[in-house]
Amino acid sequence: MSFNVEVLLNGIIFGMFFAIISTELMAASAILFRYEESTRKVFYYLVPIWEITGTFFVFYVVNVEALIPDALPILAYSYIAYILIFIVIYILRNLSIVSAEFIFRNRFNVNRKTLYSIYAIITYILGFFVLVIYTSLMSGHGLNITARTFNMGAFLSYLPDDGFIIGSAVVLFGLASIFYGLDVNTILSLGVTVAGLIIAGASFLAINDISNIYLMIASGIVTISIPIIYMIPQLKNYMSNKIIFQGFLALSAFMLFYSVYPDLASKAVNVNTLLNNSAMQTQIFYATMIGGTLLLILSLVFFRVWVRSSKMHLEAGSGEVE
Amino acid sequence: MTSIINFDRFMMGFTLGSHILIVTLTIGISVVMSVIEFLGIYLKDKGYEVIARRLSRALAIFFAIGTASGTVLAIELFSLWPNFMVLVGKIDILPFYYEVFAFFLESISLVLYIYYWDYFKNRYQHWLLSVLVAAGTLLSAVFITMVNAWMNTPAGFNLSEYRLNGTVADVNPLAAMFSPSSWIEIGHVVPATLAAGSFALLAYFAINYLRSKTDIARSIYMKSIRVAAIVGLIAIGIAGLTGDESMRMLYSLQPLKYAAIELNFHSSTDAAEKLGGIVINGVPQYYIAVPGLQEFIMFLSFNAHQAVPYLTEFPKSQWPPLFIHLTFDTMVGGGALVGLFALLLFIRIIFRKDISGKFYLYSMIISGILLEIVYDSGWVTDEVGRQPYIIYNNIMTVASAANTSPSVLPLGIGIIIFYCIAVPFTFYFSAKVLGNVSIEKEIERVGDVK
Repeated sequence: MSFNVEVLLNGIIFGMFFAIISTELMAASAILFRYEESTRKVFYYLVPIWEITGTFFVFYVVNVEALIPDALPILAYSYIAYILIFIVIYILRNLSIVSAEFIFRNRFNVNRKTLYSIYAIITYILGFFVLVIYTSLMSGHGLNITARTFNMGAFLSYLPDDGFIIGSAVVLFGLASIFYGLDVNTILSLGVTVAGLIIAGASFLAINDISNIYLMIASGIVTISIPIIYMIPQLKNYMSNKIIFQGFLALSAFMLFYSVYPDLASKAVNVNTLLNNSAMQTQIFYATMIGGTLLLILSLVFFRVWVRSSKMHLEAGSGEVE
Repeated sequence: MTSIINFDRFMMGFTLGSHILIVTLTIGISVVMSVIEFLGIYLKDKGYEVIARRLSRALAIFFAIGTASGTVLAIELFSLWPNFMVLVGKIDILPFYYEVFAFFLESISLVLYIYYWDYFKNRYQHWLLSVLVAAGTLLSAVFITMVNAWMNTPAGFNLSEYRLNGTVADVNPLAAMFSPSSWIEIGHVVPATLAAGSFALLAYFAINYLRSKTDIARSIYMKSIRVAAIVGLIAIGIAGLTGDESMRMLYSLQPLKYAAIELNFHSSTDAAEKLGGIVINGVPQYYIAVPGLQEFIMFLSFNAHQAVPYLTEFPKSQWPPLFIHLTFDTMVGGGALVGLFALLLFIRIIFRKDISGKFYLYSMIISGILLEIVYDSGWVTDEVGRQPYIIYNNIMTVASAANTSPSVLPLGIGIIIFYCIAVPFTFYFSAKVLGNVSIEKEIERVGDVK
């Protein structure tokens, strides 16, 4: 398997982005299905983190621009309609959550639950769009690279494409109760996660020419180990740690991403042929190292404060952020 | 095809214009809030803390919407201008990349600053977070300005080779990042942004001072007015000085833009400065000419007898729209007016004279609005003055950079309508959040207000 350090970094950033966006998708499930419990167990994590998710999204977009600039016209023309819809929905997401947060605090006569439910539904739609673009880039279905067009109908008409999206959603649904410590039977979480993995895994095999099957299997093992570790009483505390949980998710996403490298659109595109010039690659490497160190320090400070503050709130009997 | 290109151009300008409004406020609030909190801790005056807390809530809202519109811009850049971003990706993506980390610095520090306000026992540690927030916002502005500077004065690759064959060779990302005009532009744009934000805040404080019903509330708003006025004066002073330098940079590096701004149609060695005026049938009319002033501003002498750039030395097809002469005059005239007012405020503050008269307070409100117009005029002058090029000097035209897919039209119109709702909502919502809890109640809660 060929190796390129810039693609490796892009994969790592993708893994981190996926892990952080997953926490919002899992929160959306919790909000819609267990709102009252969410107010105690989800909001104290979600409220500080949602603004950082957007930053990660921009980080990934800019990294792709720096990695494969020649691919930008293909992406821009093919997905323009979906990108613009995505933009509107993204703004709606920010508006709904910031309204929910501050309307509640200032006790306007508006239902906070409705606003959070709107946020949750919008987050599902955003997740759907991200998965559609990611999956279509992998499978190539609906995507005409020569004409630079994307046909959503053709994409959705191929069952494994839908299967991967549905399976991924089911996996996150299963993991939500573990990540947020919801009162759900752990066997049920395991069952749902396994079901989702089977659907997503089979679909992924059907839509891709996998370059490295071991990485794909390892990705599945890492994901399934989350509910299993959580079920073992001696190890449960480790998986309750949000950093460890997100580390597992990021690792899993990274390995899945790398299992098809260097090909896209079912081997129609070789990423290595689109890579940026070496001078820029070198500078991006240094920039990632410098910025990554800063990000690591900031994240450590954030989690230190967050963990200590959460303990104080939980001891005081409230999970809500003031 | 042309209509789609123009639509791309309009949509980008519209979203950038909306984003700029939010960004000036975000930068202004972050810096003023940091200074106010420091004073509160240092002087042990809880009144400052009350204001800092209120500003932090507004900052959270502006940040939330600013993040969204910033993300929109990041996506629009490659979706509306794919060919431009291909070139940027190969030569000058580095500032964008560093800007993301500045963005992280701002967002993570802001989250800690707002949501864990009472967690920090050592208040200077909490204040340090506000410094990081301000540093993040200012650094973001620095990096974005670097990209703009590169668009004005491209460097870091073989320009002749690109003009000849359209191929990118000899790439030096650091040279592109620090292009010839980058430091001058940074020195002008960043303080100008801070000035616009500080004066907008000054207007907000003045309005609240006028509305306040108690002495203690008025006292707190007056303290905030002093801080915003001093920050604003420093920023606008620097912007004025570097603005002068920017004109000299245009003279040597972007002569066509210089000629259009000054409406110099023909060669002259003792050029007059034209104030106002419009071009009718290719002839400037209705302007006031100040003989020798342009020569003096440019060469600091009335006897330099040096030629200034003029429009007819360039092909007419390369001329930018000449209305930039008026936007430039608006920027300089309005900026100078607000600068003088800021100086007056500063002198009165230093000599402990009263600035709570209606003349001063209403002037503060007008200055806040005027400086946003001034800021936008400067931005329009810079961007439109580069037309028809997206990257100056025969590198890439706007037309060749645009996405010409018809799908842009319906969805783009939808986004514009959406922005028309989202931006006013942000300002209205911030005002509501700030006004919902009266300052008197907050003072009661914290106590120890001097």
